[in-house]
Amino acid sequence: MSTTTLKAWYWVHKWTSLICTVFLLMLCITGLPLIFYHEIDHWLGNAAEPPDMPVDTPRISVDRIVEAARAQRPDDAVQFVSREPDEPHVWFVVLGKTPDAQEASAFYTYDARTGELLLDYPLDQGFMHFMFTLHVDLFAGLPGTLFLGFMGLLFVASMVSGVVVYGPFMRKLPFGTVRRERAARTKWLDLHNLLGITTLVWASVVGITGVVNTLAWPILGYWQYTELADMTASYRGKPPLIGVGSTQQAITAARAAEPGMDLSFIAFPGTLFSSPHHFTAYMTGTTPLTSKLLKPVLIDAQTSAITAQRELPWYVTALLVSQPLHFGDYGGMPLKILWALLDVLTIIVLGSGLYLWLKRRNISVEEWLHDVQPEASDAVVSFPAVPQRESA
Amino acid sequence: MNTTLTKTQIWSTPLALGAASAIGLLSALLADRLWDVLSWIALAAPVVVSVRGLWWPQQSATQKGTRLARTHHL
Repeated sequence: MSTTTLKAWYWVHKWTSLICTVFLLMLCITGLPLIFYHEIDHWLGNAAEPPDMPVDTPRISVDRIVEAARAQRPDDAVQFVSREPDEPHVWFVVLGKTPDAQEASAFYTYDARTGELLLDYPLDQGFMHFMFTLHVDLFAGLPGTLFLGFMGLLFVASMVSGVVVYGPFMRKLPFGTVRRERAARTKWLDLHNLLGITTLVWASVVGITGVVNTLAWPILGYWQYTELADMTASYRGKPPLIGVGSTQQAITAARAAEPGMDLSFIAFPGTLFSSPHHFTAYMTGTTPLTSKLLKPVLIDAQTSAITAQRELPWYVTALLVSQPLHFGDYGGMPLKILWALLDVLTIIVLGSGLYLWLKRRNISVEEWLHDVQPEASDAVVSFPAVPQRESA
Repeated sequence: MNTTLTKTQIWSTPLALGAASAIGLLSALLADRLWDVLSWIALAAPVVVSVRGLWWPQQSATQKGTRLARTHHL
């Protein structure tokens, strides 16, 4: 690599890092408690604990649970009913001010066997909500999310350029060397290089999947506009629904249509994830990977007849696979702990990078390369990529 | 004494750690139980190497070089 090329990559590394570091530090710090969102919710008492009952206790009709949720908030619309594989005894019901509202107005947890309201989740408040909103959109909605996505792209660029400059800078230092006896700045340069290169693959995957997640609304919007519209084309222009049919029948029909799958959530007519005339049941597989994917099944909201079912296109599948790879919630508590440790290591890489810039010395790349060599006497022999005429 | 490292010397450990990370990230996603355990072990590799660098750093190249020179009578 010529010195000019190396200088250019170094410039890219410096500036992409400088622009994104403050935001990336925020993302890493707010992301740390979010890894344990589920556990913290349990600890704070924001999780339903359904009472123990005999395993063969029958489940009541979902319709009664939907009625109960409507009775709780008669002015709001039921948007989604969902379940979690690891919490088989409860149904979650999401309501909004209107059917197509983007914000939920209530999140209820019901006992699937008794219909008892177990939890009215405290929305839009608390420490975790603050951390979550800061992490997702800086309290600035979709523009905030897209801005953070752009910072994520810069982070990816800073990692790519960091790898490019890593090679030339490590020509004289065996892997893992930390020159502790030298100046603090040298020690932190070595640690920045070491931690940066060891956490590289994890940080890249979490960075790239984070960028993909910032595109969730545009991706889903495009899918609604193209595929979902196509699936419901024959209903276009039909008069609006008079009374919605049975949710339970819709779920039963979807389960019969996809016998090897399980329900993840069902979207109500008129919501962003369905059509004005349909329930849309989102079915998941039962293997570790397919349980992260969804297959929509459209059910006529009045007759409960299946009208369409098809796989999601690749770009929605990419979004769905990006989620576990960003959250680290797919391999039990040990994986979450590793996620947290790698997150802390990334904070150290970001912090040390900032420190190196603040303590920068006004020296050229050539001088710096000279400096990373172990013995001054080696300097002249060592770096053939640095033409003598340029350093003169 | 010219201690310039070869490409292999520079990149073998980072590549191995990158491969371990990739295995760790994917195995828990694709299957459960034993694959989860493989995922924890593989993803622990970059953490262990980083923590060792932070608390028990390698000898510096200077010291190592000196020692090497002494043992090989250079």
